[in-house]
Amino acid sequence: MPVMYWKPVWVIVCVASSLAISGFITWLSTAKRFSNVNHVQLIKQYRTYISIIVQVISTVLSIGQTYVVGSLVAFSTNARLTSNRKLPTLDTLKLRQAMVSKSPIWERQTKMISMISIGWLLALQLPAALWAGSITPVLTEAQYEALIPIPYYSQSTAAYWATKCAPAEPCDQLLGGISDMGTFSYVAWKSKLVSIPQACTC
Amino acid sequence: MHLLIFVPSARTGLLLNAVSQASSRDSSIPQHQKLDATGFTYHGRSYGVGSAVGLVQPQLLNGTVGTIRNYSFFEDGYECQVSCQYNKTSQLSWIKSDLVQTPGGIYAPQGYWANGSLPNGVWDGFPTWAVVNEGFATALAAVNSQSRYMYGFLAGNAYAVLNQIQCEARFSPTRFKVEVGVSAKNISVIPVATGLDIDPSRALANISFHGAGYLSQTLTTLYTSVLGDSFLRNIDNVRVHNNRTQAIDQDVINAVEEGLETLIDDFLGSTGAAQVALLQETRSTQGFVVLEAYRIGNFPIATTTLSLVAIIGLAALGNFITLGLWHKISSRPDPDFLDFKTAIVSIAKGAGSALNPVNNWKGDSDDRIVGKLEVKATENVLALKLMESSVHGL
Repeated sequence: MPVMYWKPVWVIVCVASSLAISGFITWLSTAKRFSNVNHVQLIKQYRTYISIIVQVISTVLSIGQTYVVGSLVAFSTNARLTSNRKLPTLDTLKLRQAMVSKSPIWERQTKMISMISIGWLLALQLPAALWAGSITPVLTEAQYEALIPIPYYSQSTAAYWATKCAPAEPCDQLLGGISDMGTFSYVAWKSKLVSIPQACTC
Repeated sequence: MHLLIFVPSARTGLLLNAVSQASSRDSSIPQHQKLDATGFTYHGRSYGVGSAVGLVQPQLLNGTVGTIRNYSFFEDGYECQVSCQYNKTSQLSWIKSDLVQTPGGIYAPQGYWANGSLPNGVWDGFPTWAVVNEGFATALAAVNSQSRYMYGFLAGNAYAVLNQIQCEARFSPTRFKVEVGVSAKNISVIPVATGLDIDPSRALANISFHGAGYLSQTLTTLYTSVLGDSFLRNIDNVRVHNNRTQAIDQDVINAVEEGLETLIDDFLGSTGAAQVALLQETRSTQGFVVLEAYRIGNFPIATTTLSLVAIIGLAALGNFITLGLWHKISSRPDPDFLDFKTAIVSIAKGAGSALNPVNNWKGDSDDRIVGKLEVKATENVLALKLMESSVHGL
């Protein structure tokens, strides 16, 4: 196997993949709406589980940033140690090591270093939080064109809708009937007294 | 909010409920139920359109699926406007006919013939009954001639405010925008423009117009007028809405106009619903459906994430350029002095350690040989000693 300095390679991979994923998610958040009934129900019913899954995924995705940032700190520190510029102190190395290993320094003697290390640690939580906000499914609405059925009055059915039925005239064919959706009739003045026929609970 | 009232004759049907709820008692928009069992409610007038709502579902296009939250479409129909006034020289009257004798004369049915004429023609009239006198009877004359649709009220003493009111109904072909809230089950209809005449024969308008007259004919009983009662309740709605202790003529006129408009709207809508439910005769119009949906993430946050990733990428690029990391990729790794093991071994090597693994170390942070060196703190815990492991294999 050829000798390779893998750390810079992983940095490139992390940056490229993070850019690709983030760009795709940004496009999704603007352009795409999904109306699948099962998915919407799933999101409604399992919000808690979804938030856990989102948290795990966002933590994984944030490694792409925290690893790169840690590596950049390490590269620059190592480079500085071999350069002829001002040499770093042991406290500086301690701080940078804390930054790379993501562990805060709690020491009274070096307040500034402690504050920087804690601030750095907090800043490193930002990518995971942002990723969580970027990938959390959000219930919304989507508008689509559709065909809406409306009544049509054709000549072939004019014998129903265009026939007047006065009181005391026989017009049984116009009386219609009752279905689950209600009482329907072409003689509304006669058939809309629905309380009695709909009183039956059978 | 509507008046809750328990009068048996007030509960005989949805059409009459529509009349008695045609006007609002407060500043809210009047609401009334769609005349079927779909559970939808019209907010404001129905204008007789939207009758297919709840009976048939919108068809989504291009394989789209989803749960419909609301939808809207345009439908042509008729906007019916009713204008009324008192006509003190009304030519409608009751003509007394036979009296049916009862024991002791109690509830003796007195026959009447309601007849007369309206400004646009002679009304056929109809016979009816009333107890003792015509006090509890109401007749609504409806004459459709000379291209005019006219109503005239003939009412007894119990409905005196309705007597001699005459109205004209006008049907204008209108295009309506219908908005349907599926989850809230409400429908609102807004006239937007002149529409196509859906029935140039005007049979729909004629039948709807006469329906109100037929209701008065069939719902005037020996003891009461159910239609008259419904109009009285709507007059009370208008009185309360206008914050008056007693209804004035204008209240009565407004209540009758709105009541007749609602009634005609319902007759038109009822015929439309019958076309859909009984004959399945529909045509499709283009509309918009709002579906329940989800999206991934939030745009401002996604953009912020992308910006952060891009900034980190630029920082990496700058680091690669300034430190020449491109050229180092295919070479031996630099020692990482922030790595604990590397730091200790490199210090030991710098201090001239005699240990072979330290001497032979090439700076590789994951070197397994130096990784096996043992570390021990001195007794005063101020120094570390590196020792070669006595046990192999770990």
